[in-house]
Amino acid sequence: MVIAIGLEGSANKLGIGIIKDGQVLSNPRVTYITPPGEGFLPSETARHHQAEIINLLEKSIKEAKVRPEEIDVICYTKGPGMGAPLVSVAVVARTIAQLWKKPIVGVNHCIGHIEMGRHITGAKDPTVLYVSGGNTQIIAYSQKRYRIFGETIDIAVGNCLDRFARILKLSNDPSPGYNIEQLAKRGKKLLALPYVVKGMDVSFSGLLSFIEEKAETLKREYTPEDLCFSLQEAVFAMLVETTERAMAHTGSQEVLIVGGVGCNERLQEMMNRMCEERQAKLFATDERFCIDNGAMIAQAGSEMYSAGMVTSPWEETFCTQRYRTDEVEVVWRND
Amino acid sequence: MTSHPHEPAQLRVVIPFPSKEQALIAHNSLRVDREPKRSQVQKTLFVEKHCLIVELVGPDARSLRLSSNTFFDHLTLVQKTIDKFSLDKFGSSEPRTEDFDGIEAKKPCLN
Repeated sequence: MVIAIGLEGSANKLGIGIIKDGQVLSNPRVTYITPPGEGFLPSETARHHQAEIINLLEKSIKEAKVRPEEIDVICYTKGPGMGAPLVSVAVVARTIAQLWKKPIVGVNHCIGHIEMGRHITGAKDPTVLYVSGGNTQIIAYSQKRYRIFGETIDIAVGNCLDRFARILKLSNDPSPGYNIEQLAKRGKKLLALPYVVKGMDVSFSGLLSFIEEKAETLKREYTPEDLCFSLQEAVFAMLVETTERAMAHTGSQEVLIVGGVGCNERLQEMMNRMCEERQAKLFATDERFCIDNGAMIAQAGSEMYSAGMVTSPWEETFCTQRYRTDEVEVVWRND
Repeated sequence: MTSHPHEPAQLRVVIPFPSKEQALIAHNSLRVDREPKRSQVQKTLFVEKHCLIVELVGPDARSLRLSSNTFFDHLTLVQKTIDKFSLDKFGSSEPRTEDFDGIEAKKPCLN
């Protein structure tokens, strides 16, 4: 029986979660939300996390009704992500690991998403579509590694959506992607946008440049609702195509969507349509686990800890902005 | 702090802790992260008695300012974490007396 605490802060969400034997005891989160038209920068995001982390840690422990002595392992996000926010969280993780005299595990953020998705949905060996503001990857497990089958060759799909929301000056509360989704539901006119799929990979920066440059002229003919609708249809279709290509390659009958963009119901709807055509099954989690959270770090960290993968020696408890999903040896899986 | 046109700028800060144990905890939490790639500041951290000592060497005062500001942000975070989550203090509903920390912190670190 393992009780793990996970600390996550690689982007603008700060989350601390506690898991006991696979059961989520607490998973509070706070989000650094910037004014409409603005994105979040590393130093101010780090300052937000620093200001919130002590209270959030206390809240997480109180909600879980555990004592620090009962926690077996301290898990934190090693990367990938933004440097300053990552370090701010790691500093606290290192401190409680010493205060409570517990082992520490540095977790890959992407693997946190995957392991939580598998755990919550019960998907056995899915083709994973990991889509967020910082990452866009199509992943399949093979021989102790989460292999990246396809990915964005420039920006993440969530980054494309977020930056488009800035052009429209949409609110970032609760997230720009959520507000794009709500507007898109009322869109009527479809604008054909650049559709860029390159084999197994996707590209969004050309599409973003197009819509950024033409925004002013487009606004005369299309409403913000139409533009949001058109953007989603284009980017999501690209993701469905590349996910299907990976499934065809591996013969997979399961799809798991993880990451903040995975909350989007239109994406889920389109993916489900493709899955039904292939008699495959779609798995997705709700916003508690799609969006960055601490429990997912605790879940992956707990698997690692049980398999003997503690971060050691102490110098290894650093953070890194670049951390490929396939760099981690998935020791805890036996398939 | 010294800053000379042809010499690097240096900053040395001595931070007393209530105990050597706490100084060592802070040292461990703070020594792992390297300075950001673009920073030209060299940071050295070590513990003497119950004090954490940080030495920064950089090309100018501005670089030291940036580096030390970040360092102090993280140091504050470590201190708050120790204050709140030490096993003997955590969960206590009694008001803690601050005198102990204050008296200990006034002890000189260097002879």
